[in-house]
Amino acid sequence: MKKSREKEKKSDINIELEKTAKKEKKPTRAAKNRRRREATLKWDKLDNTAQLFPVIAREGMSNVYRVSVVLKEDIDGTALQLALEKVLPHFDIFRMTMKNGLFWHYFEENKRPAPKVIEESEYPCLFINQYENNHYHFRMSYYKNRINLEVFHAITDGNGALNFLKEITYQYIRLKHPELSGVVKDTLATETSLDAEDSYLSNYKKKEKKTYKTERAVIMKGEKLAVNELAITHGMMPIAEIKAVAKAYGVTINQYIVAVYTWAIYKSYLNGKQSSKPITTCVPVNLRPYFSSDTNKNFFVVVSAVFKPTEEEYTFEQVLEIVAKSLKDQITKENLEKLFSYNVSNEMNTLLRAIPLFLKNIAMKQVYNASAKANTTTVTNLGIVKTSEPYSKYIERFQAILSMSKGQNMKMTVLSYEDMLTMTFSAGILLPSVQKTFFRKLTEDGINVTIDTNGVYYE
Amino acid sequence: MKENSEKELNIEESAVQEVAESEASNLRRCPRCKISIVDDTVECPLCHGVVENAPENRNMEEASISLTYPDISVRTRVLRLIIRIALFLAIATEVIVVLVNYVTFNGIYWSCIVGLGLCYGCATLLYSVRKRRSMQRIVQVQLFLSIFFLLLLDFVLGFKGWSISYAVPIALLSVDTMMVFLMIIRINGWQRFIMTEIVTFVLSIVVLILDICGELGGVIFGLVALVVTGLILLGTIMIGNKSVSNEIKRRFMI
Repeated sequence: MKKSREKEKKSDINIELEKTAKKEKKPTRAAKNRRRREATLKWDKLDNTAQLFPVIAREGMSNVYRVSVVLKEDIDGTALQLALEKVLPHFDIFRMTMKNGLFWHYFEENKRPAPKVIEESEYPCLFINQYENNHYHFRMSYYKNRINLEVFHAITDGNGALNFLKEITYQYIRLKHPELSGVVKDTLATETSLDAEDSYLSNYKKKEKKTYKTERAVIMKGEKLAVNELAITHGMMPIAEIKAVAKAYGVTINQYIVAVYTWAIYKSYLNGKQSSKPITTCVPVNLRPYFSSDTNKNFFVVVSAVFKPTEEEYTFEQVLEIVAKSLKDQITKENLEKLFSYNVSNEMNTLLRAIPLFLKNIAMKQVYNASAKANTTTVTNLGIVKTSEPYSKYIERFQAILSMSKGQNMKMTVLSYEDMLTMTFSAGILLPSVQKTFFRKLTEDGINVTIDTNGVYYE
Repeated sequence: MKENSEKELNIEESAVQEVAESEASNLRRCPRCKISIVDDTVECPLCHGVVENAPENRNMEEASISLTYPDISVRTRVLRLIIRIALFLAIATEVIVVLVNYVTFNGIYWSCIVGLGLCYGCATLLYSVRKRRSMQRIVQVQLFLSIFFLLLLDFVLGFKGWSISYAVPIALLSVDTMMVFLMIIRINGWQRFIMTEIVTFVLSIVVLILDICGELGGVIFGLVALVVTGLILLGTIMIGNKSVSNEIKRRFMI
């Protein structure tokens, strides 16, 4: 009975796919006319943050991140392909390819078919070569019950990617569960934003001076994994437990997580010794809630939690206090505005704008290489993911993975869904001692942790 | 109808819950780290201590694996092995060639040419083959490389000026032909080749100026290249109208 229902569903999806293929093969007169009218391709400028990524991206430092949704059922690749094809036309920023202008990189509308959805067969967050991907800057794959969306950071940040992933997931669930047709409409969810404004420019007020420092930080070194190889460790825990612990320490969940991570680096990498260099943790801050933006483009700035172990011995409470204060002082609307205003003012400078792209690229690489030495690691908290009611019961959790960048051989993402919080370590070094100290500290504080890896530590 | 679909949803929901509960009871546990582990493993991935709750019937020799990610280590290892073998063969060949060149030396270091060829082959294997480039970029790079090598050859042979008078204009005309061909086969985005046309046009002006100023002879070739390139560029701008002007606007955006 169940098998015959599955077969019916599959044939429905195949019929839809055939329809799409036929439409592509035999364009009608109206379609031809429309195509002629649309010969003028849409194009767009890169946002302020995005300018850097095409300059520094390469194999082994892809600047690609992954957001995934884990469903409660196995994924059907054909249905997922169809879901992507249905949703993609609505998201302008994902339908773009990147080109080189004489002075800037720019996005140009991509009219090629959607990239092929494939079963996962590579390490996460590999470099996206647009010429091997129908000129798109994102790729989609699946494995068992997980859908992966990998995105080049120049397109959007984690929030924009989650927005897109959620819509594809809803569409996929509607395709796989025709019984939902009476419950929800076959269209985009009302809470989804399709806005693609450059919120950096629209919220830029005045020129600001450089506010961040570039003091050299502790760089975590160790036996490196092969290029493109990433060791992934997901840690799942109940939100209620971590919330209670953070509350008991008198800090926010985010401050607690960054402090435990800093503590883990201090204890296991520095072995609790003094250091002339600080442990600097980059914490990207989503600017949307501060500036009432719903953009799908990048809109974040990075603040740093700095802990310099100058004394002989520190307790966890002392580290927590330093890290929490460091974050609290920086995450204010005024300071966040200052941070991005400095970058935007550079972009607005007419003299700098008129410098040819190849010279800008050289300068940007130099600035990036210098500032890369000022960071030990990154913790990005994508916050609480909310899904619409008819779909929630099919979704188990969301998770995210960051790729490595210069000087940062380990990074972490945090994401909450319903009553569970998922932390994901991605590492380019073989020894998991920082992760071990981190999770041991959490369990010591009374949090129940379940971990799940990609098997690299068993090789 | 609606009741039926609701019933179906409830049945699916309870089935999902059952699966989740049975999965939770199957988790391994590390007594040192005090964490539960989803992977099918006998050791904790963090401290490498032996875990509790591993199934009794699990084969001791079975490797620990992730249950949520594909095992791609074997595939990656094979790829790396192939690359290492290819590099070794290239080095071994070069060593033998150098040895033969040394033993049979007749005044020419021909082993260096073989070495360069092998280096190019290895670079192609490691980089070029794995990365596709845009056709426009390939044409531009080939154009600049060919001009560079033609000039170099002319200089090495005592600079008679044939590179600027004949060879480079012919290379520019070849690029023109290639551009027209590419615009026809990629008719949907034909205006994208405008940048290569502009580059070729600028180069043909430079070549003609050098030819006239240096009195190198063979001005006619440079002139033909300039006229053909100019006509193709003009035709593209006039026929392409808005799509071409938009392409220029995008490319030259400040």
